Amino acid sequence: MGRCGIRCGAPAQEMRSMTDEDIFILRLKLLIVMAKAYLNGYPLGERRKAAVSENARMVFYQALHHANRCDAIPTDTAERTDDAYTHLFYQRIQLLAVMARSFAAGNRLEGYRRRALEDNIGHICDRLAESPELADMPILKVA
Amino acid sequence: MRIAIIDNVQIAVVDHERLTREFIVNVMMYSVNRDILVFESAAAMDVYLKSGHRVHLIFVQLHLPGKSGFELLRHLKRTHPDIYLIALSANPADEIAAIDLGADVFLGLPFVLQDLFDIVQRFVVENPKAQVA
Repeated sequence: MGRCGIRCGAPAQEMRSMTDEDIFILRLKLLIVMAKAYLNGYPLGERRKAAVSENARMVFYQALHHANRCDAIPTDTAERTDDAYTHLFYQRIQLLAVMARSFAAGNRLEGYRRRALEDNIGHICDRLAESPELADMPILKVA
Repeated sequence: MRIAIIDNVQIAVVDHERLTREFIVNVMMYSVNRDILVFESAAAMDVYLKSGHRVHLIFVQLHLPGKSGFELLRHLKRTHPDIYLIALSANPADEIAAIDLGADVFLGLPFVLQDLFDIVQRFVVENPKAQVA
């Protein structure tokens, strides 16, 4: 009858306190899962809507904070730097947060809006996949 | 059928670290579509349980100010052996002690989102005990 404990989380040699950055990436991935679940028609109960809205709010402000630390996009579009790319990435994250708050509030995202949400998730996931320090791709396939 | 199980589950998070605590609460609230109980100290969790409330699963930060998470694990294992206990720590040296004290899961920080979904799947969705209101 005795229970056997199991272990999960970071391997022993990689254990450390969680940073603001860790939480931001986790929240972003959670927001992607929430959005994919919405697109796939999973039910949204009242508490779930509240969870989506709260997570979107947190992600939005953290992305805003990160975006403010990046250089602005160059006016010459032919000269897109990594910073500009990163800046756009944070804009996309903010857009995802706005979209998530919208569907959590009961607004239906159909037609072009739905496609815009799908495209935005696609771009963010591509960027996460390109950045090994951000990527943890199996979780992006959860929903 | 799954919705019925999730409707009845009660999850608590005992952690004084705001960012981690709020994130776990967010994931749990989304996963089970219920309010999640939040306590910043082991003593507050104790008081809640002593008043007769039922909790199905508790996330416990092992290094809490005041009464430690280890003490809480030891106490809960004795008084509420049916509650599933998830021990959180950033120190690998805590693992054996936590499991010995009755933790069902030792969750090493930093965790990934999938770890939390796995815990819900294992201890809530697939567990018939969670159906008891």
